[in-house]
Amino acid sequence: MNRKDFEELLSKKILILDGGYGTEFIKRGYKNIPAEILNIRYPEVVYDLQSEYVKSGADILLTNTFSANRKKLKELNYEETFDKVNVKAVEIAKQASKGKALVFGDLSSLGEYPKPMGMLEMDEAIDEYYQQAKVLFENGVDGFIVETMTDIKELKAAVYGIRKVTEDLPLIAHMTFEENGRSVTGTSVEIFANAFNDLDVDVLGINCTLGPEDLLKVFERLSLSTNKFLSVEPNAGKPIFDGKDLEYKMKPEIFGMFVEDYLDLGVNIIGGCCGTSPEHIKVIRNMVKRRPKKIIKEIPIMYSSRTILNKLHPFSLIGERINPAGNKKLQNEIEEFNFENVIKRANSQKNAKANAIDVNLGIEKILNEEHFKQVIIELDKHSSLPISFDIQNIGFLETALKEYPGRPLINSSKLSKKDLDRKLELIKKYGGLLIVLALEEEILESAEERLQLVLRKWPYIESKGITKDRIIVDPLVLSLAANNDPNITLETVKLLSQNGFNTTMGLSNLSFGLPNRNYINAAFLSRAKGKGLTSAILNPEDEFLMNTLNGNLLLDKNIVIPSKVEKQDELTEKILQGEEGEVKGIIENQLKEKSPLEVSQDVLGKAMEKIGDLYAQGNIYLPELLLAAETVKPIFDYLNNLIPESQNDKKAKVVLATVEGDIHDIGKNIVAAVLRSANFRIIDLGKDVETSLIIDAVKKEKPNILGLSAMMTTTVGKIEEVVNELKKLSIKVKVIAGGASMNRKLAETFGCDAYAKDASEGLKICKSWVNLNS
Amino acid sequence: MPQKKIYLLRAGFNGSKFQISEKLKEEINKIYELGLELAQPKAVCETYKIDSLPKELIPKSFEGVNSITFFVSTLGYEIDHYISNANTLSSMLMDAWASEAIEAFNESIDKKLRKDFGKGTRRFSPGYSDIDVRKNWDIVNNLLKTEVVVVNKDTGIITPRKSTVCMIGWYDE
Repeated sequence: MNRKDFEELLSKKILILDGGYGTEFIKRGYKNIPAEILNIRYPEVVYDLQSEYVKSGADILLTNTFSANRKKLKELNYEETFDKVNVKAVEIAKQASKGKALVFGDLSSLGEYPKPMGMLEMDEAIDEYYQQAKVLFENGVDGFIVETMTDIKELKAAVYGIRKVTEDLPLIAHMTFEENGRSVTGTSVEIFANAFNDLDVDVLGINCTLGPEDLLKVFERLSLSTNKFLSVEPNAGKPIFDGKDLEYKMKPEIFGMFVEDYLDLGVNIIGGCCGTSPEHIKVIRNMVKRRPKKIIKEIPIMYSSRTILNKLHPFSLIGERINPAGNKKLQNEIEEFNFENVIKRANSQKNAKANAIDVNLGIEKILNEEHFKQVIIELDKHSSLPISFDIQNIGFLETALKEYPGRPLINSSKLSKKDLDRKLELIKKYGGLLIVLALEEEILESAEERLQLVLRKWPYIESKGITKDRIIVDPLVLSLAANNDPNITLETVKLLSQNGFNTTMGLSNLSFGLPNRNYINAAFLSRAKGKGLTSAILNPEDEFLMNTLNGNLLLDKNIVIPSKVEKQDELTEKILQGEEGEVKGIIENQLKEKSPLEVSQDVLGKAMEKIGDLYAQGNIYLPELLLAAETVKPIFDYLNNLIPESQNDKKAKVVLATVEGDIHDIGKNIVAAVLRSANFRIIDLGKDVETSLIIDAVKKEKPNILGLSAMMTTTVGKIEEVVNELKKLSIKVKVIAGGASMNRKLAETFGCDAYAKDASEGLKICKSWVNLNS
Repeated sequence: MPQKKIYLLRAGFNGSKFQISEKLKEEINKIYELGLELAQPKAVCETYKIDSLPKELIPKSFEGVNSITFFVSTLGYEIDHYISNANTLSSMLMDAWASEAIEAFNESIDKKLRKDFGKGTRRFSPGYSDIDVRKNWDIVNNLLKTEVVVVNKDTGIITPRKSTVCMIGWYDE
């Protein structure tokens, strides 16, 4: 299936992936043979399982080739079966699909990470994936999935390897995360999305490690970080080790409970991982009853290393200090593969609060590819900041980009067609943000000319599929010592900003050869920041410069935090969150200064009144109100025990009852909880209450309001009976009626004072009556 | 299994304007899981030729049908027990869940029956249109002859609470 068709399909329909393989084969008695070898030894076992998945409703079948890369098979002493296992896997899956499901080639970890996390060379890793993808492709898979990947670099290797085989088939890329949203090798969900949003993959997803409930929070983070299609394969709960085997015991129905939560987050493909069976897939199928939800997210511009993710805005500070220009010692060290000082400079700039580091290895003519590969591996190993690649040689630049685990900055490209083409090709392939210089070959004199050049070149950049948020323009900073006018640069920043371009500059060029450089740099940076500058390459260890920058950032600060409801006071917030312990703590503190009665009425009572108002105004849902009511109930009880009996309760009183013959009282109970939360005193007579008992209670309690509920058409007449009896006995009480069989007209006919369709309306009416009387 | 979205809608989450707190999400899932555990779905079905049925059990909208399948479905007493004894929030959520669960159960019975009987009317319950809700008693006791539920003859109320009596008319011979 070509990628366009696949994209169209995903726009129309949520697809179901199949479930577990390894755990299912074990369950079926094939414990002592690698799952992939079943393809050639017991193909019928694989066929049967896949047929069951198709019957359960899977739209995508995965080939049984999870560990069928050459490296893994070699480890298992099955290297010679490599071709056969992969060829047979496609054949079996295609037969089992019977044309009703797509067949995706399944690839996973090689069992050894690329450097620095493992010993494998990146090119070797890419080649391993290339070899396996080639066999799967030649045998007719409809697409590829790479899953259960714990190392971002290895996942990149898989993508590069597969895309070397074909650019025409859909590709799903999955990583695996712990509950904290980080992979084993330290990459967060957001960094995974940030790096892979640029890459040539169609779907991003997560699988394995967690069950559907725990994975949900991690998946939500992914869903907020990408606009690509999304997929997920949770495990069947947490593994349970019985001393002999690992077992997954989550029942399909419990698994299915969470399917809609994933749909709400915009998942496009959903299946199961370890422990899931055809039964689980059947339940998933049954729970998917809607079309996909396309949620377009505003994702901030970010760049990353393996473990650090930074936003470009409001300002990015790129450290300039890895540059051996004028430092013979450092140049020699680099040449000799001694990166100790490079690492030191990276770390000291990190400590000085740089957001990224510019890496320039100096005279490239005396270096080779290996230098660039090694420096990236070393920086990665030491958990460096994101990198801005300041590399002139295109081959060296590609080597560095291939080796890089995150989303880099590339510094830089001229706007000449030749340079631009090469650099655009690289960021399309490897991802990243490109810094473009506002010049073709010659430096233009005026700011307007520089802007016009950028605007003239922009459609061409766009035609290559690159969006504005991936380009940063350098307006060119020239040396003051050579009599250049700094205002041209500042004006260029202003014009570029007005045209929606992000900007950066090499600040130190300005003061080259002058005394008091840091003062000049700081003043210029202030002015540039004022014109809209978004980032700069500078020395983060220059304290004066950093303080000036921080002052500017403070002056510019404008953060708006959207909130679900208008921010409430702490007590109200804690009640709404159901934090009983925290609420109790706040109340205990209040008791140090106020009497229990004051705390009950003026503090807790008032907070609940606010929550009641939020509900009445439609700002929170009914269950949230009930949660709040449940939260404060024990605290009210506690306070009531402290209040002396002599201090009378002045709350308005409501008697509630479900009339005789009616055994349904959930609605009435909700009304009781809602009214209680609004500080009414409730006397609940329960359900199936005879008329005479209701009358007795009204006589005894003398309430302000009587609330009656009837659900059935056959019991609704009892409301009229109660009202007539009250009239006969001249008992004055406001009567409000509700329930499934009641309506406004009926309530009027029966002589009630009001009808309420639900608890919210009931609350409004009761409040208005009480306010009229007070 | 009921759709979570519909269960939440019935529970009062009418829209997606606001974020639900984590605590509430936990409660919602806990009730769903508990519902699956407590529900004891049972159904009893019988099909009668139209000419063997008393007129008051045939809705006007069933004109032209050859036979009618009656069925009673229930989730059992455990759910009722929980609803009656839990706090308001939990019982309200369980009530909402069970209402949708019985509907999902009926839907699955409906599907199966249509597969067997072919073209039919829409599913119908006494209490709607021209069939009195008290006919629940006649259907359960005289036609289905079952004790999986108990019907109050005077009101038509069925216990367990999460139970329904349904009928579908069939046009095919």
